[in-house]
Amino acid sequence: MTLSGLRAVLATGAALISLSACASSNFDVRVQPDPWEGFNRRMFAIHNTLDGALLEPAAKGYRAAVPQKARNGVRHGIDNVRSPVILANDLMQRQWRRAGETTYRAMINTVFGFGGLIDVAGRQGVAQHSEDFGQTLARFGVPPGPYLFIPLLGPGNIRDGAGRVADGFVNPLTFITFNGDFAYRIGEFGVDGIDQRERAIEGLNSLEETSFDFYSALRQAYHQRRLFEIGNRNFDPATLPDFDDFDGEIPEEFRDLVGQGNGAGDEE
Amino acid sequence: MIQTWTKAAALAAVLFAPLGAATAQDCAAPAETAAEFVQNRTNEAIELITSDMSSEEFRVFLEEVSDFNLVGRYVLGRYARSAPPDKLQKFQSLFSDYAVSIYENQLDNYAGQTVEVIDFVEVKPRDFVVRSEVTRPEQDPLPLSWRVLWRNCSFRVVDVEVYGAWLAVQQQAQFTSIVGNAGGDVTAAIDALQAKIDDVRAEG
Repeated sequence: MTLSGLRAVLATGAALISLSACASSNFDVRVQPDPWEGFNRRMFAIHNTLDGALLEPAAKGYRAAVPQKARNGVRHGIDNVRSPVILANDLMQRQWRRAGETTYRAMINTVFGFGGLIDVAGRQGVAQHSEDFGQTLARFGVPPGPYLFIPLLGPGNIRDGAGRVADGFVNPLTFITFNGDFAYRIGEFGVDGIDQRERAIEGLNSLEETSFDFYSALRQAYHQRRLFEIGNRNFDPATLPDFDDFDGEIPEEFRDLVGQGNGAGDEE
Repeated sequence: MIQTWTKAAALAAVLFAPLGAATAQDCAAPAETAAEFVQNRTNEAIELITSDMSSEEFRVFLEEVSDFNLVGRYVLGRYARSAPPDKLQKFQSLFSDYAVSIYENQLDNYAGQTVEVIDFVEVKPRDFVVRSEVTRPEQDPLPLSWRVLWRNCSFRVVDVEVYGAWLAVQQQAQFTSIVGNAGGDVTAAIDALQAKIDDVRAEG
């Protein structure tokens, strides 16, 4: 990481931590704040148009043209290249065991996995894990901030967006140029985008079919997924709603309209 | 992942089975732990799924082990408190219909699956999360958690989770957005539910 990059990361972190101090009173871990919903919904509509015309066809073409094993190799390769990003965030979160796993995975997969195309470490039981600066900020207590949907980039929030920028300064491909252009970084971005879209074909279709409101369903799915990653896939009771808040009494005149004894005015 | 979650959530609900054995004589002292409740009911449910079960029997099973009225209020969020009682009841009734119709359509997907309870966590008194693993033919095991409350002298399932996604929490985000964009009128949520039920029944 360059010195200017490091300064940018620290400045971003400091700014967001300051933000958390004034926003923490509104921080409900179960809800992604969406004060810009009108704007986001318009961006979402634009994205869906672009997705239908470009991304999904490209993802389906990628699936049709490239065998599963080769696609897995691409995924492993991208994950391996991002090992410095994951390691840096493991260390910032003082997750020493996970930092060791990341280091081990990078070494083993690079040396014995043809530069990371084969997940040798994963076969040994040292599984890939995600980590990024957005998660690090969250563990420092920074709230997500407003939800922000950007066409082609997808769902996010202010904290995670800042995290993506900061992670770029740790990604080695950011600093590899070809004829003065960040060709490798742009290439990784494009390949990663198509690969992620390919992996999400069925999931997104299913979410759209089963949801009552696709926009808010995707927003919440993103938020819950991020909470899960921030907690390192561990269960956190603080993220659960209190159902007692909704255990109200049903007015007597309407009790005959529904089944009885199913939660109305429960008292042990 | 999202598709897996959706299917698993459907599986979780369809695996609910009759609750009679779970009802303790003393309401303050459950005859079984929340973990045993999930394990026993899922075992019974798997047997029931493979038998010839009528739609009405299926509805009774689901309504006995889940608390659709409570979940129906929860998914409306703050609008559950401000909704006119008749509209709230209409929504809860449709929500129950929707849940049953969704799970009925998924019945064929559960052949050969088993559920093994791993452990449970007490969120607070009478409120538990039971963690389990679903084994599926030719697929990786699926981690599945169940939110179980001790209510009305019996355990009730109110939510299920896969890979961090809780189904009821997810649905609350949608319904509160729908109602909020309709100026707080719960009729919008009722219409959305009815439309989805019609879609599901048309597919079935």
